[in-house]
Amino acid sequence: MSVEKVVAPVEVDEAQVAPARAKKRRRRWAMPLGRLAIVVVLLVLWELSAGVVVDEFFVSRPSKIWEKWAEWAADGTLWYNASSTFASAGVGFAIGGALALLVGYVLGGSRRLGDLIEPFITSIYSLPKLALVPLFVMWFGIGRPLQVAICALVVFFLMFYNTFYGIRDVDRSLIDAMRVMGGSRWDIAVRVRLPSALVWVVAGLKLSVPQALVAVVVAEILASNRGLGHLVALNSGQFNASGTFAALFTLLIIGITVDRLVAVITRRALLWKQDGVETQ
Amino acid sequence: MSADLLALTDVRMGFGDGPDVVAGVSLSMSRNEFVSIVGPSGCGKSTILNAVAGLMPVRGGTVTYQGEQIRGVNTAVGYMTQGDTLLPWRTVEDNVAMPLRLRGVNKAEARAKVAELLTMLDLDGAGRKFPAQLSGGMKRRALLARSMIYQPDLLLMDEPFAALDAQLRTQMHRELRSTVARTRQAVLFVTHDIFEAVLLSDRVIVIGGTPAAPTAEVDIPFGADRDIEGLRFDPQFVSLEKQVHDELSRARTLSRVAS
Repeated sequence: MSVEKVVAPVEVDEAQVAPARAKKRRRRWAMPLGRLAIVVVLLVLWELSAGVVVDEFFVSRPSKIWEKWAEWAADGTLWYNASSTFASAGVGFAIGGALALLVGYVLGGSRRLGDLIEPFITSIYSLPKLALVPLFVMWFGIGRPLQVAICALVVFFLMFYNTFYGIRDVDRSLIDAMRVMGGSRWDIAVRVRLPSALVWVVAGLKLSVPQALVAVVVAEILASNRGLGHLVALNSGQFNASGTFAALFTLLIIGITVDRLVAVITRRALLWKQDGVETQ
Repeated sequence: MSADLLALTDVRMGFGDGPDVVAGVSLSMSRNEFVSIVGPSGCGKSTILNAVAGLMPVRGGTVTYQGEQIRGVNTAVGYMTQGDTLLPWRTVEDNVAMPLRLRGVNKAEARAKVAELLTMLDLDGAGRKFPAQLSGGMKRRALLARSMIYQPDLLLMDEPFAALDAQLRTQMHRELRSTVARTRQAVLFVTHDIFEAVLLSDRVIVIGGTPAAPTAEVDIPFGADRDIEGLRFDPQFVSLEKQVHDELSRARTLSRVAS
């Protein structure tokens, strides 16, 4: 008797599965489609209002921006400048990141040394980074070295604190457990301290990677003759709205792509943090 | 009582420059013995375990493990605490293998031992999971596996099951008792739960006072193959529980008078 009671609702469930799944699928597509619709509507409004409501001289129009963009893509302007931006950001990120890991690890590992040096780093941190640009121009000129230096500086500060506190605030009980298990100082450094700091560094990538690009673009706008930032500055300097917008949209697309990429990498690297709740 | 495994003689300990937390602690354990230390919370039970593990220096007295005085960390014992000390970024398998790997055992050999122990502790299939994917009970079993994988003669356990619900705790009690009976490991178990202490132990040591020291010792004569489920209804069990309870109350008044 009780068996029938159990079976009955299962059959009902079976019948409901198909429509429920379809509903779920529809909901999954609803969001992206809705967003796409908003973009299309905005572009159409822009196209229609340009030259009618606002002066086309200032805002251009999507069709013209697209034309400009296609022209750049064809003649290599886009790649010439984008590759330069990427190269500077990559090198700057690598240098700044490596320094942050190294310094953060050393200072985080020794409480006394950390207490001694950390205030100096914090005081430089509180300085607006862009105020250092003129000084850097003096030191590095206006080419790639300047972009790399500014990028490294920005990335260093974004990653230093994550590493520093990650190493310093390692759970004491993890270290004690490791010691009783027979772990040496080195074992604790590589198997406990470093991974627990990397958790924070990886979590910080969402901020530090886009900021590396921002730093390079700013440097390019201020002083340079190549790069996407330079492209923005050059076109706006010539009052070429189509060109300015085409360069900006390129940056926008790169920004979104990089953000998505970092999200995927972060998720893969922190896979172990996701708790699939298991019931006994 | 023979003291061929562990002997504490007149041990005195404290934190930093603070007053003594424990003083005049003398106790001994023989091989394959299950001993519990009970006392009011915060009285210094964990401190005694830390002395045996060598994680905290003693101010006076000696701690001797297997005939040798302990100086520095004692890597010959297994230590399981109340907290979750599994490395969250390592799989269960890697975590349990850690003590062996740290001792230079090669990967293949370590893996074989891990597999054997995971089966014994009913953790089959959990080896490739990360700690965050485990339930509370499974985490406890993984920690237990890690603390016993290198077959230390003595397991130190600091309220290891305090965070579990009653049902799981009973299950873990049964598993712990049957596992150490098989592996012939001794256990020094710290708890504030009288029931748990009497249920598991061959001997219960009550500590109290400020600074704390052993105030009483109660022998629990149920043997290694005791019936963990049924024992609670045994009249002798109940009277032993009462005896420990009375001793603990006495220890508690001692603590209060002294402070």
